[in-house]
Amino acid sequence: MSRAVRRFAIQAGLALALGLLFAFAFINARENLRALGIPTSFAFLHDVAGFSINQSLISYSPLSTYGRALIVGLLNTVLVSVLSGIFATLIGFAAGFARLSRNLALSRLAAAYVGIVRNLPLLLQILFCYAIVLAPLPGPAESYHFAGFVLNNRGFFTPALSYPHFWPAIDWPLFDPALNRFNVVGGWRLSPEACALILALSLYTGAYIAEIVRAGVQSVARGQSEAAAAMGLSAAQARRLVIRPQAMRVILPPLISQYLAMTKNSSLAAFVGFADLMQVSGTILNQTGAALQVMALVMALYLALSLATLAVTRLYERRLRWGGRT
Amino acid sequence: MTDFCRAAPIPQRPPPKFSRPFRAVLRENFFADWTSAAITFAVFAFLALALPPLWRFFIEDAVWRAPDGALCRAPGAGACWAFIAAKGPFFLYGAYPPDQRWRVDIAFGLAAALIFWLLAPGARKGRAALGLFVVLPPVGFALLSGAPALGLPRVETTLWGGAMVTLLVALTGIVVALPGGALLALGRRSGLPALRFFCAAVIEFARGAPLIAVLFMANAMLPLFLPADWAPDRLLRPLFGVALFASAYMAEVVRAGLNAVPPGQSEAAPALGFGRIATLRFVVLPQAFAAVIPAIVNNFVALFKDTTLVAIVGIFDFLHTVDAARLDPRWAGPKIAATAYVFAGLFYLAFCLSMSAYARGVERRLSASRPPRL
Repeated sequence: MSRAVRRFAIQAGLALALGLLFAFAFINARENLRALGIPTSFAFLHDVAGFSINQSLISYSPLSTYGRALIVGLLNTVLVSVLSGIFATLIGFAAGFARLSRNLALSRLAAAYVGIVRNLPLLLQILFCYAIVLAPLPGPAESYHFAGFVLNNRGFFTPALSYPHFWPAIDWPLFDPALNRFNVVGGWRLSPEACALILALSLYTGAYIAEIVRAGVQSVARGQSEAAAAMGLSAAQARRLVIRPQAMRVILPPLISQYLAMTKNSSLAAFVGFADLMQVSGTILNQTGAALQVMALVMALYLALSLATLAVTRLYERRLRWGGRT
Repeated sequence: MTDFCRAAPIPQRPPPKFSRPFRAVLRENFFADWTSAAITFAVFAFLALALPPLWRFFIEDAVWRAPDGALCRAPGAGACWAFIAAKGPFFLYGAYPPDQRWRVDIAFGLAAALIFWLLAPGARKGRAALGLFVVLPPVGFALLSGAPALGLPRVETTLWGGAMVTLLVALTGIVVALPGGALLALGRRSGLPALRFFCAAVIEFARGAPLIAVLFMANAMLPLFLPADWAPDRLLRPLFGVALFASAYMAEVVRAGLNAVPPGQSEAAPALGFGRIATLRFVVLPQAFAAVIPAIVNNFVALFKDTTLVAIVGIFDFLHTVDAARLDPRWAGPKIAATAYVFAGLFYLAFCLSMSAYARGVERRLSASRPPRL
């Protein structure tokens, strides 16, 4: 048998096997769906959701539709990812440079942080933040105040951004947080669940970013800083003009994949009851039973989030690129 | 005749010692300049503030022995280790029947022995691998789930829980992901477009979604796609999800290893008369795996941490068991959460740190045996 025929036969066999597998799954699914009375279209997205959501960027009530609940979840995932991304980057770069410090006390402290956080499950850290770090927060009457921010066991309140006509669908609260007897009124609120999630996610991702930063800075050949010194550059100039541009090109690709991993990790919100994309779709799945449609939507939305992250970071990557070299 | 040549070699002398006085070392590392001194001071001040309360809470004021949570609820009491001691067997085996727990011990003892055999330097890897990947799965299944024909009563998976489930999920991931990942990686660079497309689709699909989504999917969709009377066991569904997820990540690691093998190797092997399978088996794969052992182990660390997520579909893994036990009204109290989470943290740290240490050791050995890069 000639090589070409054999190649064709193998591929045809593979395609046939897969086709049979899919047909088998399809027939079973049709049978099971009919037996269980599960919807087979996306029409359920227009039905009333009936569950409440603790934190939402857009107006939402239990009378809203499943589709709107999904958008709320998606926006919450974006919110948590962006905030965690900012904090994780700050923590990561600080810890990475601390790890490189010539001061042994500082570098060992940073190494201990990185070593412990990277070797514990993220879920454990989220539960820990939720139950231990945020549990002792006081009630509204004894809230912590600082510069317009309010922190208590109802959440973290910031002065609201005032964009009254920014986008009619997004109703930004217009007031600074103010206290009445039992609760905080106005301002923009981050629920305790979101705080725990952002705290844990920032610390966890920060530890990974610290390692990326350290490896990136160490990848710049020693001769570069020696040459910079020989050229008469000060230590600060050498860092800014010689080390940083070269290190950033090494740091960026793993940093981007870290952001992608973090976006996916934000789905652990489901464990503390924060209504992110995953938690909302889990609820919808349980209520409607429309597993195929919901999971397809979730996959597509997470893929879209990944692509959006890539697109944003590409912009920055292009700036770093040197003429012609990649 | 006088012999001017030495008959015996001069014994090797130890390298000269460049010991510096302790004060110089101290100054260089902690007080190089004013900034450094300030940092050192700040770090030690932080430690002096943070460590004594932790010591008091976890050691000095801790309750080590108590019949129930009353002593732990007393004001001023620290961590409640008595709770851990009382719940210990539950944390290890879940609700597995106590008189059958020896079966779990044997199954995981066998797995541990096989893994150590596989990792030991200079061992007969082939036989260890055969044991781990071919013999262990059916034997382990028979031991844990039961085989009435052999006199082992069945134990429903609803009773399984605790560390045994965590280890089971992690082991399943490892045992499936190594061969599965290698096959997917080879398929992804095969010359057959259909096979290449299929493998790439599986890998990207599993890597594009969060593990929770994969677990949800396995939980909700496997029963839909199978005939109604085949409905897979509730523990089997997340195991399938984890295996798929771990294989996809492993495939990318193995692919990096395959790319690290110089193309001359797979050209030279056929020139020496190796067939395609033999080339892979004796030339390419050993080098590819050796190059990425640290990455593989790091992947397993990530997998071990990710096993905690099976709780989302209602499986009682170690963390879920600990988290559920802290709500037991006999023990519940203000200090139980901290005790339980720190204990769970120590469990995961012990496993992950020893795996990480092994990866670093292999990395050192590998970089020592490689010619220096110029």
